[in-house]
Amino acid sequence: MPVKAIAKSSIARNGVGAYVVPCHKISVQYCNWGGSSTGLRELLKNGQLDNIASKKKGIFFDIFKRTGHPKLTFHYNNDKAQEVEVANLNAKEIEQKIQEYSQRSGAPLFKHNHKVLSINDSIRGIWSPMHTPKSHRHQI
Amino acid sequence: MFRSRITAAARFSPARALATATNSGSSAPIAAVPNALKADLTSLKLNSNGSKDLYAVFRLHNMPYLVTKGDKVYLPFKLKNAEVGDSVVLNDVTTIGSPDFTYNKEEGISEELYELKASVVEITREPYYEVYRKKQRCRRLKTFPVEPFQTVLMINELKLN
Repeated sequence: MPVKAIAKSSIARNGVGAYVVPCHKISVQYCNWGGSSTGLRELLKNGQLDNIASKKKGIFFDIFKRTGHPKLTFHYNNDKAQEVEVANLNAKEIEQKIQEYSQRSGAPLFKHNHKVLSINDSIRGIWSPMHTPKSHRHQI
Repeated sequence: MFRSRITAAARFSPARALATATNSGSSAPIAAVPNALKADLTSLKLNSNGSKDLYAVFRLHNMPYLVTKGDKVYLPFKLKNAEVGDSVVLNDVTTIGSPDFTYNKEEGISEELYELKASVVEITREPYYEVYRKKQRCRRLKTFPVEPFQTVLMINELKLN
């Protein structure tokens, strides 16, 4: 029997090497009549949204008019979409919402109670009393 | 002390180099160390399987983080002046180790000896929770909504020079 190598497939990790921004599309819904869209209409009128869009080259901004309260929908790489209500918010607050949600990965929020999350094997290995030679083992 | 540099290596807008108070100061050049005084890390290098089996302990705001390449570092705050896609040069490293050897220097290892970089992968929040506060002589509890920021770094590069 020839010796077979253990197959090891590489794991795709966004950020090791190339980095792709997880948020790829933002849908901006506004209403031309309702008062709750005032802030968003201002953002569209004074060119602020153009500025944001030109800074975020990897994100496609889809702007459409629809009756009802305005909202932003953030589409992420993991096929998740997050809706954010922006009714009665002013232009600056809406800008902050865009800034915040466009930097997320779309994964549900979670608190990692450790500083580092690693999927690599331990460099030093795991200590085990069974893997030391018998002569070196602890004797009771 | 916060001694890491943030540079815009992977971002779309060119030439956005942010500095956050490096130890030797990003403006002041590091004094050249004579070869005789330089630490000899050949044994570490030979033992590290081409920088694959290498770990490092870096400090951020004086908090140590033990990392290998490809690890995610969860910072319980919003990293200042950082945006998603930025590259962070971590230049306050106290320990570099391989399976059999360790090089440790509490005051910080010279920057020329290693390369440790991370990219800002995500700026998000922790799940929502509420904090209750009780005031004296008041029957009611005050409720405070809490949703603190979180910054996720991905260790991009860890190698010995």
